[in-house]
Amino acid sequence: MCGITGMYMKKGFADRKQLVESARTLSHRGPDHTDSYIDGPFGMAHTRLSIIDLSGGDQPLFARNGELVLIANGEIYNFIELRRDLEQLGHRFSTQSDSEVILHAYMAYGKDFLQTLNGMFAFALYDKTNQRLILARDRLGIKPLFLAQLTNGVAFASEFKALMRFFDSAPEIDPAGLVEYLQNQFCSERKTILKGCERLLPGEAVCIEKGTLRERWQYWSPLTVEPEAMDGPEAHETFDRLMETVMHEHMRSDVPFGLFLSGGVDSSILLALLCRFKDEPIRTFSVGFSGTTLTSELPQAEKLARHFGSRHTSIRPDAEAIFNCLPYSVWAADELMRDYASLPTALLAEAAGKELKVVFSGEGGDEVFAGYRRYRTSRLERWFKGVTAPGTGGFRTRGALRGRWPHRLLKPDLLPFVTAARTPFVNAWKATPSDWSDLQRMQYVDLVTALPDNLLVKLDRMLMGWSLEGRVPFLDHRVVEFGLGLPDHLKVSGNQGKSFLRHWAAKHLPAGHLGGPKRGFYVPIREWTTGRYLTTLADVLPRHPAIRNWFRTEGVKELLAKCPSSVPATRLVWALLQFVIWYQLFIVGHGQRPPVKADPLEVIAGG
Amino acid sequence: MPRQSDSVVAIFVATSGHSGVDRLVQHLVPAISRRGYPVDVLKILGHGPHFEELPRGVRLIELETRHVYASFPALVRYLKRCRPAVMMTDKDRVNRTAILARAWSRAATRLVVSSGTTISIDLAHRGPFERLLQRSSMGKLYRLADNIIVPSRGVAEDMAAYTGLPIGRIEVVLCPVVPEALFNQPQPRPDHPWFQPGEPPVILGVGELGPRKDFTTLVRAFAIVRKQRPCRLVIIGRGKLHDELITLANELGVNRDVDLTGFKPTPYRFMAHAAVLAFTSLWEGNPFVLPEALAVGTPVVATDCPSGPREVLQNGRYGHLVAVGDVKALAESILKTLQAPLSADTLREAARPYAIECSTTAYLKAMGLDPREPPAVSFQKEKSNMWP
Repeated sequence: MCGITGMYMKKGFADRKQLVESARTLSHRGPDHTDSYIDGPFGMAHTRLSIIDLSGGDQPLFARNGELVLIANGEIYNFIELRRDLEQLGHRFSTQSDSEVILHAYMAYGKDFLQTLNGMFAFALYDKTNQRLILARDRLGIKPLFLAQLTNGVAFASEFKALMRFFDSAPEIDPAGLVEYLQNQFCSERKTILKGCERLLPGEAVCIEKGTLRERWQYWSPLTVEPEAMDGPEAHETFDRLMETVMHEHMRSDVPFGLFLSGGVDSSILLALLCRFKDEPIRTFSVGFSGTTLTSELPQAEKLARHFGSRHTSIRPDAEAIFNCLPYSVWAADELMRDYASLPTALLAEAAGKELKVVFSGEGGDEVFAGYRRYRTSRLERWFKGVTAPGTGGFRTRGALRGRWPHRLLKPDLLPFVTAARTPFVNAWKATPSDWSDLQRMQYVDLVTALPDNLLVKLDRMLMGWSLEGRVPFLDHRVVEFGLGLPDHLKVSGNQGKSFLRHWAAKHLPAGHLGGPKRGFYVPIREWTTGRYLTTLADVLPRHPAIRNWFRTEGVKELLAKCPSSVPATRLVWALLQFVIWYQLFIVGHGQRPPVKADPLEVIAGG
Repeated sequence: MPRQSDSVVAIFVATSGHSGVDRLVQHLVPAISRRGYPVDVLKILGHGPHFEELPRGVRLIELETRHVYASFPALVRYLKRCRPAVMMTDKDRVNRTAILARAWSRAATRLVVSSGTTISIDLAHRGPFERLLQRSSMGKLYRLADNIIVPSRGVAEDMAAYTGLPIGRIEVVLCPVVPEALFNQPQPRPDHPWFQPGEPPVILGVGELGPRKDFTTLVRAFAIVRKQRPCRLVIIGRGKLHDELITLANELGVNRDVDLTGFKPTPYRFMAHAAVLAFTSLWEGNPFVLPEALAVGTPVVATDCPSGPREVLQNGRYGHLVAVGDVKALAESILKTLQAPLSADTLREAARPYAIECSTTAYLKAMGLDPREPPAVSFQKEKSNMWP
């Protein structure tokens, strides 16, 4: 788990100082070691969080007498099997690092090498002989990678803050990205909020030669999955074997690991499996909010922890502690993304990061096994929604800006992008094969939009913000292929989602544990959009330059006035608050790191 | 714009976009271009071939019509204007149109028509009018072409017998199937659990799950083999018979050892790590998977169907041949092959004539052109997904 950054110039020489500065902004992703490599117009740097081969795995890694150079972020979980195959072909390795298999797979298998790598990764492989740079991102987009095609070459980095160092002008907002963020909570496809910065798609690789992007290709896509006609017992048996392999590979680590335990289905299963395959007690962490009226999942998680004998920590922050986490979590998230659950994840990461380098987390279970309520809407409801917003079968039809709000709130520069904000969902829906069910289509839309661009941004960036690696076995691509291909009737039964996983897990978990509905993290947002907080916000927010540039002051004031009583208004105010913090940290501060705990209102008042 | 060179090779086909002819053209066009001949690929709207990246020296010329016959005027114009040295065409309707267009244009272009299917069997499944039309166009019109090329001896003999063309007018030219890198570059292990080390051997079938590939015979034969020894069957491909094959595997009690994986864009790796490739087609013209499996060093067992497998396997020297639909013989051959496979190097020899460069030389000779020396390091560029 690390940070990578680099620049391939069309002419001239790579600038070591610029490279070092860029790497410095990624020190949270890799506090253990930093190094760089320069070859004429090409340069790259790596910050390392050491997890496998602690003493010998520093990067860059080299092969073919120094002609191939690699920096990588992430884990190649099947490195042992792959290394065995490669050694049989005569390859000799110089470290015990999992990343070294990337170099040898490239030498052995040519362009097909990406398909041999199981894991979560983003890497840059420089082939000096052919003056070719290959950038690739894992299949599901667990690890981030951005690139910018600049006038003097192509730059790449794990995060915006590092990429910005290569820009020849001040960073700017992309208005289409901003509207997509407001509408959908996140930006999808290649587009980002930062002008000129594009995202490598999950399962995508690019080839850059002499500072110019020559080729892009998708080496994996869920679209090749075919519906499987299997019955319950057969599916259970197949999944037994699959999960055993996946957990076996995911548990490879030279440092101890823990688990984020929410008490829900996915993390409970992970706890059961980790305990089954590991002799020592597992370290678990949960978070819940004191003083809130809604049911917290803490007691459920604590009960489960007792059952499995895990060494458990429950975190109970008060409202102010959570709120003061916001500026740092916006900085850590890097991409502008509105997900309340970032805050509890950040608090868990902070606690776990003090003693561990690796934690497991249940992300992906809901997408892969159809757990969300939004997958269980009636045909009639979806038909109706599909009439009002065509192109996605009635799924993901409404953005946060509804009715007259776009015209009230947005300045004319942003208005043309409002309709286009649904495009990523429409494109994803249209790409699905004709023999897929609507449920599979909905899962696919989430797998290529909300999962990589929201859920995994939250997981990777919140954890890396505290130098912690997150492992997500439910997002192993074989599990994703299995879940997507399962017959609908096994995934959803009656009004219950994820029914396959629940049935399968019953033998691993205490009786009665899986009966409850999906709860998710409750985050007391309403407390910060009323009373004292709201009064200050109403004063500061409309005057902030970021708001004045893009939004109508009257509209913002109207929105703030509606705030205490309206949930949609609260959501939008929160989105604006995050935008202003992000603007302050990234556009004004060029990625400047705020204190770990800071009052958000003071941060934006600084603008 | 007309090209200056008098050695332009024009290729005119109208394909589905994912057929054997598509792959043939995708392999052949860059290879001809690498020998220094400019190539014009003439296209009908809505049809293949498609090129991910157009090789240097190759032009795509859209004939701006959706139907082959309707392309006649555009084709005449092209021939008059560009005067290519050679035009090669494939499939009867295209061949017919090209023969008439060449005559109408009075161009001096040499015309080479080709046909890849065992025509008597193919036409047995068509209506009487289509049968009459194709039979007579092949028998009469094809004589006006400068050369007629087919991919196997069996196809040539069938064509001569069925259409009345003299066998001496038909030339056998093996297809450009195998990229050089397939011989040299190891194939990564698929991440399918059955292909991992220590697992029982996998018998592999590759192709559309339709009647022509006759995978029901393969599943039945597998059930017999499975009684004798632990092994598994994987079939790559999609098609209408998917459910029927699953039901059959259930009935035979081998469903736990049979996996229909669906379409895989890169089947080479599955071929390379399978113990044996079983080929059960009822009839064929271009059995691409056989040379491909041989090139990655995997033994094959094939039906002796018309036409192709007997020639690829050189009368059984490089793999067992069994009668079409003979379940028992197929099972026995699979067992024998699992017990005593030929060495990978021996199997690769059999695939050599189907190497792209080797076949390109034969194609250029059949077009009446100097084949020229193949470029020394051409395999790196031969197929774009094969670097470094």
